[in-house]
Amino acid sequence: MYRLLLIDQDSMHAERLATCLRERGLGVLIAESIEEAARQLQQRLPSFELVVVVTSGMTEQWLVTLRRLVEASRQYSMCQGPLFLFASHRKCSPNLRLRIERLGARYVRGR
Amino acid sequence: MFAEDELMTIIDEVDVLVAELRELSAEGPHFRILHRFHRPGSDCAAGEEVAGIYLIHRGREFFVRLSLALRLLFDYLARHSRLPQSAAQIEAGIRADRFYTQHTTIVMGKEKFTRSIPRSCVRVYIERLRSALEDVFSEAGLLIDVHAVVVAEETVTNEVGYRLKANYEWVHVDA
Repeated sequence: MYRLLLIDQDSMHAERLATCLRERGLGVLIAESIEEAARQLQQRLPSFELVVVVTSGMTEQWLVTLRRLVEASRQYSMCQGPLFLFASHRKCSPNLRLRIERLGARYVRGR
Repeated sequence: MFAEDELMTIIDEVDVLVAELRELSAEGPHFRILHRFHRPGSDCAAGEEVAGIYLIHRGREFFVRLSLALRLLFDYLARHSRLPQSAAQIEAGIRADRFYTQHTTIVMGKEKFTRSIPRSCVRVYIERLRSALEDVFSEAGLLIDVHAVVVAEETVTNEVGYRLKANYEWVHVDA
């Protein structure tokens, strides 16, 4: 069973999404804050194979957050690290999207 | 804030990531090996050049920065990926294969553009290969342990067999 760390500041949405993902056989943990997510990802032994970050908007600040999470996951781990998905409610500019992808995250915008 | 179809879009993307995870853990990363100076109807023939090696990840090509000796070693290990080989076996295999001894002779003639891989250097080359792969994985945002890709398998003695755990495609171009 793959373990997924969910970062979503809309708690109701996070619960709905987590329920759907658990039904698909994934182990889901909802992080209560960015700090907690970073702590979870800094473990010496990788705890998650997938990280999903859901935001309602797309700002530079989220890019900084995403970078922080990616770096946290790489700090100690010598094994395969988690794959990142960044989901945004709003369309982001091509430049920002490129920067997200260069961090190794897949980007998706809710239709 | 997010409608039902938006939720499904995210779940669909998570499904893609799960498929990617499964493929990575089962087969390893995907590499494209470019052979140049190809003659029609004779793929991987003696005289071609191992011109470049690329990591393919999420539809993008990432160039693996390898010297000639490392390109030859990578190509050789990719072709024999099911057989862990000791340093001596690698040296012998490369010496015995006309593809490597006649590397690039189609255009260079007798002027040699190849490398032998002495057994004493294999360990160093393997480390350099890992280092180059670490760089390209980092560039591609793929956090994967290079030791799981360039695998060293111990035998019952202190001899070590090396093999690549990845999947490959060879692409041939005429010039």
